[in-house]
Amino acid sequence: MRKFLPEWGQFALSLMVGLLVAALVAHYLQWLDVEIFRRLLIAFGESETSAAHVAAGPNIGELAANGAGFVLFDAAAMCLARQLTGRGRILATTSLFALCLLYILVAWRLLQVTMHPTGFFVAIKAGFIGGIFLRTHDSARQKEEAHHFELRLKNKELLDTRLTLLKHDEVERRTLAADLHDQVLNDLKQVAQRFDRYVEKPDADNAESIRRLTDQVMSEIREVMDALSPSVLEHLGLSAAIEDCLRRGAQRSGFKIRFKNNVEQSSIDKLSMVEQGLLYRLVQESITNVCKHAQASLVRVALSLENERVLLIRVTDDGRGMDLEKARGDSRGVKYMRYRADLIGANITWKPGDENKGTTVEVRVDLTDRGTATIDSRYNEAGV
Amino acid sequence: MVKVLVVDDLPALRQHISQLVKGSVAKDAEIHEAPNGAEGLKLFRSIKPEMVVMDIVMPEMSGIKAAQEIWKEAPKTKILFWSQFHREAYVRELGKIVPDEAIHGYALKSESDEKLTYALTSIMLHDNPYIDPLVRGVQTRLASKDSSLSDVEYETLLDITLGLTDKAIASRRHISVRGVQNRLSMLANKLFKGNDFYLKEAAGMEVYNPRTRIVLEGLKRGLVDMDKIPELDAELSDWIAEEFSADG
Repeated sequence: MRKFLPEWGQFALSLMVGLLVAALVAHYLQWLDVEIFRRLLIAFGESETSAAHVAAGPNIGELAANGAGFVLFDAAAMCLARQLTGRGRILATTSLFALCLLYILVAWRLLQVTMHPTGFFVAIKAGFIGGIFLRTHDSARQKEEAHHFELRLKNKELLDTRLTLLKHDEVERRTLAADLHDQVLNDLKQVAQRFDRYVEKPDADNAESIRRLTDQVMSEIREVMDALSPSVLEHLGLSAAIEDCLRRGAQRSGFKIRFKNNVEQSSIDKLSMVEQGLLYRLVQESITNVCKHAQASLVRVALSLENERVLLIRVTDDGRGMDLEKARGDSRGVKYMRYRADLIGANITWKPGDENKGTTVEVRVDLTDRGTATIDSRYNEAGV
Repeated sequence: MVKVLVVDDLPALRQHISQLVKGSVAKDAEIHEAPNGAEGLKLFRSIKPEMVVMDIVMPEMSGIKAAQEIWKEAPKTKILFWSQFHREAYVRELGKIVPDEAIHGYALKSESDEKLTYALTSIMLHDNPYIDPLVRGVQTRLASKDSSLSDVEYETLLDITLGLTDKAIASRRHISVRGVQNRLSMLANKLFKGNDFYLKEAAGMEVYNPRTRIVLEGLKRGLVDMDKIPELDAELSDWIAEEFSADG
């Protein structure tokens, strides 16, 4: 119905239905009406004789007064029932009934016409029902609008996420290409040169330097590969990979470390490799941030289970601490980490570290009901 | 005759190891080859070799998984892991699965044949665990007057000087308890050349506590540098805090 009629149309239709019902009742229950009206008049102190004068038959004034009353009260009841709920609605309806009695009385006094109380009551009741009907429609429409709005918002968010991740990946690809070019390719060129020299003059020095350079290229390629897909994660699992990442961070930046894993491997295995990979990237990013910005002297990383089903990875440092406004807002790194976390339904939060020093990053991910297929497809969908 | 099982997915590398073992470690060795962890495990069960050379990354079953299974069935098996990975994480994780009775080693594919031969020899013939110093997070060696000690023996000397137990050394250096004990007896052999053994025969009892005696000998020969002790002790405290801290 909402689809076929505009809002005022609905209102008019409900009003018409109410009036029709009221008119029908007034027409067919005229004997009852007349009787009730007479008693009403007596109850309100009119004399027996004037009350007896009631059933004189319809005239224009009577039709107009009743009709106007029906419209007025039907519309009023509808509006009130549409706007109010619960007690307010009951109170409003009761007042309407009282008002309608007053109207009947006043109309009689002024015009001396027969009024139809049953019709009025039915009109009010019908208006009331019409109002409730409109109200349910209103709320359904509101819900739908909110839903639409939410969908639009989510869509936009998804697009943003995809774009950010794509951009980030593009940057990583460029770094990778640069690494390959600057380090590996250059060193290989040198190997080629040295080799040419060796062909001309085969001595131990040249052979040695070729060997050294090849070693160097090998370790460079290994490093690039490791940046792409950490071998430790693949072969030794998430916990070992995180510990390794932490230790390497410590070597680079000279902080002390505490690593603690209270989670069984079997629990971690509930996550797919892709999910573990993303979790690892989140922790890696956190540790990199500590190395870059925190000037920490002690970094702790702990893996634990919350409520036996949520994996919690906590990275705490005692460094300078980060601007927590940033964590809520728009800092690019933070945003990017949030997006990554969203992809696997994980939750990431930043807060001050222990004793209000430094920063704590907490990543939580529910291990129950891990549908690997859907999550992996979400991962693909985001263009990662 | 010693049986050796070589597990690697590349035939050329298996060949290489076979030749190396036969050529410079044990001429009469009986060598078997398997292309992956699963096959290797099968072959292990049928021939029961004393020594296994194991690649880490292989199709079907990784070397780590295969080693775990092998040690479950025969915890005394010596295994030399032969891998291209430099990360200490590998050695650390392997250290967690080595049984107390086992001797194992970790050698790098990128290193020279001499190093590999050395690794094979020390594990097969001397029961001495070998972990490539490049991976181990190298303990800087003091310029010492006495070059008869190997790097790992020297490291063990420092560890007992600091008062660590066999178990603690095993856990710190990612090797088995038996590996530590073997290192200690190698150390004693090199430092005393069997002298104390004769004294024990003559007196009819243990005259010296071998651990303390080794430390004393280290001090006498200037192998242990007193000035470095505080630094080493601080390193040790860090390690203990890292490893056993309850507050995580």
